[in-house]
Amino acid sequence: MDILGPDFLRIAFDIALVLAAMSAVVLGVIVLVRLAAQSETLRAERFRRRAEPAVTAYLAGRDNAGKVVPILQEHPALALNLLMEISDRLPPAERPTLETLFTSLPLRAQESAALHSRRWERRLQAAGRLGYLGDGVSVPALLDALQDPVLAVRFAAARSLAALGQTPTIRNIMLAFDLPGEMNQRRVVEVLVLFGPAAAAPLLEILENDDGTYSDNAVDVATRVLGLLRIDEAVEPITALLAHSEFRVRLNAVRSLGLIGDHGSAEAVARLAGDPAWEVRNVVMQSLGRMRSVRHTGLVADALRDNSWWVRFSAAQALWNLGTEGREALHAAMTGSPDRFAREMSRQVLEENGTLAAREATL
Amino acid sequence: MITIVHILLWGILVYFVALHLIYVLLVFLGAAQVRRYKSAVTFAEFDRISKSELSMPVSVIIPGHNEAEIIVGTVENALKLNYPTHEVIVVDDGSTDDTIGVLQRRFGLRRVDKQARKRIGTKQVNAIYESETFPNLVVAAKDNGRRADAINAGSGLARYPLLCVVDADCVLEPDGLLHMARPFLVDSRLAASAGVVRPSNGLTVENGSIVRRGLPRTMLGMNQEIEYARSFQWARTGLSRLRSMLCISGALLLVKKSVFEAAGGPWPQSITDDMEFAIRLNSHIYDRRNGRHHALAFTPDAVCYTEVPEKWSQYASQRNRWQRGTLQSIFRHWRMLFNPRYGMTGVFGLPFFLFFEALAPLVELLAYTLAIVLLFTGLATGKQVLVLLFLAYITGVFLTLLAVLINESSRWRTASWGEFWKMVGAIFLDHLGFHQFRLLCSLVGTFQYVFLRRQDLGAKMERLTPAAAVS
Repeated sequence: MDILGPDFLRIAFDIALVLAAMSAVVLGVIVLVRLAAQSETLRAERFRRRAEPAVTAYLAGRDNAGKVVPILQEHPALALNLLMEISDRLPPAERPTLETLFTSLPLRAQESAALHSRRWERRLQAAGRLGYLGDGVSVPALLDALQDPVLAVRFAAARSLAALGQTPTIRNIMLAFDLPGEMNQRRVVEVLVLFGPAAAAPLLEILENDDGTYSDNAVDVATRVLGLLRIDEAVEPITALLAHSEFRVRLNAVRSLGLIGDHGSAEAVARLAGDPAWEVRNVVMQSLGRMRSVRHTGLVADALRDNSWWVRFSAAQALWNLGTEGREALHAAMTGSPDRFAREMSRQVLEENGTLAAREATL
Repeated sequence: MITIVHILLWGILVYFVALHLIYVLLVFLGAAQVRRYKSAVTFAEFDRISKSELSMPVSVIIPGHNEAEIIVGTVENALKLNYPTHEVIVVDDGSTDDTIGVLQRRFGLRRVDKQARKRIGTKQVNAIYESETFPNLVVAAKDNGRRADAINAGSGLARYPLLCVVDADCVLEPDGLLHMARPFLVDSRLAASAGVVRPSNGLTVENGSIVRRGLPRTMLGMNQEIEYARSFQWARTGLSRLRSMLCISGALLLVKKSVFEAAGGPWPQSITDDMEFAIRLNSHIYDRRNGRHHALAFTPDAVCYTEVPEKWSQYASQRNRWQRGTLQSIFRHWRMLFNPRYGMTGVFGLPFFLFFEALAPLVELLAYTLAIVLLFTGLATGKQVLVLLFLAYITGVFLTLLAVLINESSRWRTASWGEFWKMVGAIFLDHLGFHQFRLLCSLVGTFQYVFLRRQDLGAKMERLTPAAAVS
């Protein structure tokens, strides 16, 4: 082995010994980590056994805050986690009851300061926690966090503003999240829906005063939120978007009108049944089905012959949703349509809904 | 002669040092990734995804061939996943056992005349069934065409934009899909998300739900437990950071349907379709010509449990197949090697995979051969060879212990004290025979692939009895 140098073996042996010692140290650290984790778990469990019934009693009105706060202040970090968990389980209307307990924890200043941490994970955690701990005082810090370079932190800050019911900040949120892409849009929509019907007024303003301040993305988001919140006042401005040149805007407008379910807009929606984008035609069919627009049965039945599989599928589902008339149209298409695709899709949807006998289905 | 021995010895030494330096780098990257992930994720986030009507719906595809013994448990498990909207598509790949029959009896299937989209060509789909009791369950029976073909057929039936491929012998944790889907919400560029795979042999599953996590009972099973821990806790986590996650387990993968179809789906002729598809997915995503609009993620806390072989013959067959599959996948994509057009994947990922995974058995064989030659020619003493073997042994132990440390620090699914010490014991035993057996299987696989052009899938693994695996 001397061909590798006179000291090679000694060095190799020394390295092996160092690694053996390091392995022993790592094993020791693992044991310590396990012991620490166990003791921490025990401490948390003990605290939970005391604190949870106290909070429950407070929520039920059996105890006052003065009795619960001292228990929570023993372990503010554990108390915060417990309160956040309980708050998430409560219906939104009951959550403000916990505000006294949250504000009793001496953590708000610490979390506000953490929004400027160098570690984005800590900023993310702080932005999320301020939604529970914060009040009006935290709003400027959260508004700053909407400009954070990390998208996840911005979303957490927006969710916290929604949790605090800061409706005037919707405009800031819309400007901070002018992002392309379906996934991003869904996340912004999700945040804004948390504001509830209170979000309607500022969002309607975006649709009604289209002065170019907001991009098509923002218009899309506003349309989707108004649809999900089923805001009847939004029907008119959303209907105006059906003529928009951008297909995504038309798509979301049709989708939202379908969700709102206003019969008056069915005619305008139906006019897009011949839209060049198959995605729009697809959502038109879904919306007409959702609106139960029986007078458009013929138009929906025609879409069974569309060249897109998804449009045919949605048309067949919509016919099923239109009730007796639609189901009869489906049956007629299955047996008498000259188009093979229309026949196949009608049969599939009738089968899926269990209306065809097995023998008839396999014919 | 001496010069050749000298060159070979230095070559092996450089290889050994380079390999372990990369491993140490991966350990640090893996630990940092897990830490970062853990501090960024909150329980409330999963709760929100599970309740939101805006969460991206997922089609879970379960391909299976002759899996009558275990398929019901797997489907029950998939149906029970905590996710707002998901469908389960079981593709029976030409089974000759009663797979369709057991599914029909358990889920009340009825045959329907469903139309599948055919973006990717597959073998003939003969029948499609839907369940009367579970509206989100679809079963397709098709001609046999290997696992990849079944997955492609399943993708044609999928209604949703995200596809989750799960093996027929796999059990997912109830929140597994939520954890897998979360990265898609954080990063809209994401094309696919891969999760952790662990042996299911010590798992107790009742009616599709995990009721107890344990460790395998046999030494071979325990050995694979630590092997999987090492592979997933730092190797893949670290490699994902380096954009070089070329080995995504087929047992658990969530991918955007559009990307899946654009990449062409798994290749039915591949020996290990998951590995080949992972490389193709990487080449599609990181190819400069495609604009690099997408990304891949590894989710360190999404866990899927899969059955590992506990019989030596089955273990040998599996490792033989993996080695042949690795070679086939790399040779099929040799154009990516050292090719900067594919970014880090081409410059580092695939070369690493070739030199330190596919060719590692040959280098190790050379090292053992050289040790024997040195002993017989008197160029080295037994004591000297033992020192080198001890160095290799303790390096392996050290790195595996680091994997355990990462897992324990993350506090995800920690074992009881008894099981922990059993695992520590298995770590110390890994290089005392198990590792060498793996080496032998890989060498046989290499020989069979290179010289005999063997491309079959080997013997099918015998399942544990349903009561022991999934009841």
